Amino acid sequence: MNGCKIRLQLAFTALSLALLSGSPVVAEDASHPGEPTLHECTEALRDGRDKLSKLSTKSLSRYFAERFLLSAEAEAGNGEYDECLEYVEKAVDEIDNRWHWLAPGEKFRATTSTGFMELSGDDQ
Amino acid sequence: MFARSKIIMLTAASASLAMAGATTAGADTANTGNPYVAGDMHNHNTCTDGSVSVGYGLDRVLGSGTAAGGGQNFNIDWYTMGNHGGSGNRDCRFADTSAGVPGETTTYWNNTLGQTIDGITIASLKGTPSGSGNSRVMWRWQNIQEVEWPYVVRRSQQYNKVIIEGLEWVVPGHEHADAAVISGQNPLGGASGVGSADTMAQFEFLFDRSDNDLIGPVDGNGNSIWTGKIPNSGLVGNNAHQKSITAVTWMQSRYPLTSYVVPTHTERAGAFSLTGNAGYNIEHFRNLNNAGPTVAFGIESPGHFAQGGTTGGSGSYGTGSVGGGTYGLAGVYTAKVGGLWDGLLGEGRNFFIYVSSDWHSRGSFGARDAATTADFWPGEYTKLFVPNSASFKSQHVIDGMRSGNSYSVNADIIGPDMVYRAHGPDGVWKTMGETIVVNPGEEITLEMAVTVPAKNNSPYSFNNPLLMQVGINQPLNKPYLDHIDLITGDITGVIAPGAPGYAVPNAAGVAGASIVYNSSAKIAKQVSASAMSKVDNPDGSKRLTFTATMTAGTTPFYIRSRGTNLPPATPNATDVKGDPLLDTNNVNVVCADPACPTHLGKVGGTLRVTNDVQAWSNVWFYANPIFVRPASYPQLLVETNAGLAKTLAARATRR
Repeated sequence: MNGCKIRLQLAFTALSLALLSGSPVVAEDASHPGEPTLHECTEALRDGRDKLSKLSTKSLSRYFAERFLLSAEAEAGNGEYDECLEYVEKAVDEIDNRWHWLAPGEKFRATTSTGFMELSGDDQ
Repeated sequence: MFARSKIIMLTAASASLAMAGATTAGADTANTGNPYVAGDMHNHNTCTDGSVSVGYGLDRVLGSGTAAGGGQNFNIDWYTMGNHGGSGNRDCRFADTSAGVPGETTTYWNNTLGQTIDGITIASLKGTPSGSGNSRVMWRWQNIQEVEWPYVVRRSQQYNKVIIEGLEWVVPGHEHADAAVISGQNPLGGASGVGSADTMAQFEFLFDRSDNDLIGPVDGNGNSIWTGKIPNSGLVGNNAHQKSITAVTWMQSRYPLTSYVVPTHTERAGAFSLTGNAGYNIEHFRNLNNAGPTVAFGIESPGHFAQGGTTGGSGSYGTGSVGGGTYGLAGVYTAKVGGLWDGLLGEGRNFFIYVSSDWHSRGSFGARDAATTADFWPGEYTKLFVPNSASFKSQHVIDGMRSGNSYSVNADIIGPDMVYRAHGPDGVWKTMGETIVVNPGEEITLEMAVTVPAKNNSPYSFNNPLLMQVGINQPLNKPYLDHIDLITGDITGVIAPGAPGYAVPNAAGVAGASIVYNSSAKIAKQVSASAMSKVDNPDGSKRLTFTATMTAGTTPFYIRSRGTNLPPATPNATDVKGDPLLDTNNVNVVCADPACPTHLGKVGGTLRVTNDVQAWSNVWFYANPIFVRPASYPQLLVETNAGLAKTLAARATRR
């Protein structure tokens, strides 16, 4: 694989935009009082992204939190709004507590469709 | 042949102790082949909330060697697709961008209608329209019929393996369940063609809590073909549970031998809720088994093995799950001696344990990476073993699961050739799910043999941080068995619905871990690997065997087995008896090796045993029970229901 170093980008998916647009649902409304809704999921995603944007793009926590938000979007697309909220909660916990960071000399690398992304120990 | 086994004195419930001098009779399975085959029945792709496409996922799971674009294939023996019910907005002929699969980006059904991709053309999204733009969804019944099924056919023939189109059923009143109806599925082809997955799709349409389509497929006149759907709207608590019972009754009446329902990650959503859709209590499993004696025969412990972070979360279990998290990467219903599973076995029920991957994504990694902060691929970490057959078919998967003759293994701690069997004076061996009938005072001989493979799929060769606490240096990529527990419990008979003890109050969080459902259950014997007979095989694996004897008493009982790499009293992992602690405790252990990966969570500036390192460090297997009944005692329910399956099979053969 060609090792092209890709800067971490936090481009949101089309799904995010679709969710944020508040799409109408015309199938049976089977929501139940007290159970999470698409609206709540959408709001939580928006809040999560707002918090995410305040972290440095060099931050490993920011990368981890972004991945949690992507999982939240996938759950929303499947209609699993409770799991959507759980992933947003994980993202916020990561942002608030910075469970992942890279000390000088440490690296994190993950494959992407075009190569890999890499972060190195400069995210303090 | 078994090597001469060491004789282990077993303290069994209702069995007096006996030290026998006999050695085992020959078992002909030792390293001469695979009497069991490994599979997975709970996994996802972009048809629902997974990260990879249907085709790519099947290739990685069924293929061998290295994938063309990179990443290890896992060469699983059989595979049941297990996507959620409900709907999905992504075109699952494509991987999600986040999966990092070359050339693939997140694609929606809204983008591809009318296009032929991978030989499949989706002309329209059927049923009740739902969503707009990229949120337009395809209902899962259509997805099963028109998307997943063609891939099942193609890959079945390409790999010549058993692939089943199954479902992760979103259960009314509850969380989820693995489900399948294989009637009509013949993907390998034959005189009658490849068939279809229509019965699976019909079940999903009629009974899934997230499928709110009220139309389904229609005939030429536009009339719904599948009638009788009970709308989900307003269904909560007991009314919703009743729909789940109706679903199981539907399966039992129509497909008693070709379907199953296995509730999964059963602790995750907490206790059952009268006002919503949440978890399960023991009475709900009893109801399901009563309604579907040959289709609702067990539960599945959670997958998501690499999700454990610094605040817990392994198995996708949060603090609100029953038990407050996982224990040895298993749910507390499975892991606790005397817990919910033992409560069901204490009735003599045919109720067994299974484990699968619940594969969705690699979390912070791409699908081709060896590391994961979320899930393992099917066949990578956990394996559900069912008996092999000369001509292995999808029916054998269900037959093996239903019979109880199956076992579940994490991190390849043991291989596909486990022997776990026992006999009475008649010398007739009985294995998992079967019942030995003896007279009080008669001797029972139990024999167990396992192979500890030379390696597993771990990408890490540094020493297990949990074991280093007790002075054991064991690389994570080399399986290690410390001991095997033989767990027994008394069987006191089936509890009738409504009778005292049928319904048991449940509790979310760690409080749920203290509930005792069968007080007679105990670790009757803990057999250290060092006390077993050992044969070193040329491939580096080890064959371990032992024999135990016991004397039958007047009360029926069962003997189940589990094994682990963790010695009793391993700090932050097991208690003095060897029971697993809440896995969140693993976080107290520092991963100090220079090779510890940077994706682990940090506490106080140090990497901790979390995510995939936790999973490779904290390793267990579970084997289903063998039952023992005094001859004067009425047949156990497990025998009655096995007999029912046999009768139904004979009837089907005569037709």
